[in-house]
Amino acid sequence: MREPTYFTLAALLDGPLHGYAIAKRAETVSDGRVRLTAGTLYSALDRLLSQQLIAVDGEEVVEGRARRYYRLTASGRRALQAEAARLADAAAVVVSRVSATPEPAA
Amino acid sequence: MTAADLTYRLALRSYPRDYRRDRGPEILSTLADMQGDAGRPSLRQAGALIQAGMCERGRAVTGGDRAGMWAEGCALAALVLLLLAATGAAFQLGWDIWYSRLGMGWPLGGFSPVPLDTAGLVRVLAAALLPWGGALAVCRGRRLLPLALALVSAALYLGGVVGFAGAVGYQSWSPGQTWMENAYQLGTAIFLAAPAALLWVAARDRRQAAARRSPAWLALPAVLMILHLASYWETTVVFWPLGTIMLAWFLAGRWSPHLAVAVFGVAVPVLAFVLPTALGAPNYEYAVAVAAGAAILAFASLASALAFAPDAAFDPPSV
Repeated sequence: MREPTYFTLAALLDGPLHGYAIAKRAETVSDGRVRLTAGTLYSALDRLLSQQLIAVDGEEVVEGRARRYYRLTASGRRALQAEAARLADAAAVVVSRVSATPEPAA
Repeated sequence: MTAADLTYRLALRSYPRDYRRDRGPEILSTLADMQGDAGRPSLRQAGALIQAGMCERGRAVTGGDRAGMWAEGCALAALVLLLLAATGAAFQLGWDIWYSRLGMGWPLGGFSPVPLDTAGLVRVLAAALLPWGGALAVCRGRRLLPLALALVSAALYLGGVVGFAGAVGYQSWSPGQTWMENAYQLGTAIFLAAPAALLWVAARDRRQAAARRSPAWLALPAVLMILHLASYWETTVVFWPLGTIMLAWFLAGRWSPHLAVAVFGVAVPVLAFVLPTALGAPNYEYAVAVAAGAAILAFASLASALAFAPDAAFDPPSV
């Protein structure tokens, strides 16, 4: 799973959000590393929708701006959990060994 | 409408029309939110929008499969090249009928070709019908039959059996000629054989059925020949309609990564065909312009095909 996809899903963990809120939330939870553009955001949303990892959770028009809300589906939540576990495993490989091996000479 | 709004609306045109109708307002709203109070449009946003839009078009054509995009692009390039090869022979046939048999005049002076004899007619017909038959097969979703026909065309040309004469007129490979003259023949052989290479790439992708194309394509040699006779233009007449078709295609919203692959596939053999002329026969000054145009087109289209087809958009994420 690519980083924008991962943080898009992660942004939806706390409940349904619209496009702009997802981008803002993804930036917050990634410590500012993931700055989604509208293009990448909607590519990711389309792909996640077609894989049924997220679903549309209603639409509204606020001050002339069209908004569509998205929510995590059960399979989306499972996919995100599996990815997080994989990342944690990958990190553990390094973290456990860094302290056990000597630092190479510069 | 602010400058940012206008920029994003223009960039949004890179998406297919149906998609734009469905998602456009939502994307523009999100962009307006992201824009906030910033005055100037963000190039990063506009660039990402164009890239995502092109990917969406590629997905609309090939179902989102990257290999399929290259396969379809190569097949389309092969189709255009086969039709251009047939056009060269159609020119000669048109000349023969127009000037020799109907006795119509040449507006620029004493041009009175000798009518083709029976053997000459057979050669020109073979030069027209082999690639045209290949184009017909491509339109019907075949890949290996047109591949074989393109190889036969090139082999017959190199063997001196068939003179694939274009409007400029030339002979087959001969040992007595200078290397530059033979470079021209070699370039022509590359031009004739290129569809085989492209169709080989297209045939390797077996994951989806080869797309069929409208038989309207098959009229291209006849249309170009009529344009040619009607205007007395040189071979450049081929490139103007092609450029117009490309431009119309883009404006109609049908430009996609696979089309960029197709333009690349056409431009490279055209370069091989035109460059020896440009170097060896300076009186064909148009050839220099066509060669430069083909080179720019080739690199620009390859770059755009690669840029607009990132794995991120075409391959499903590994979840």
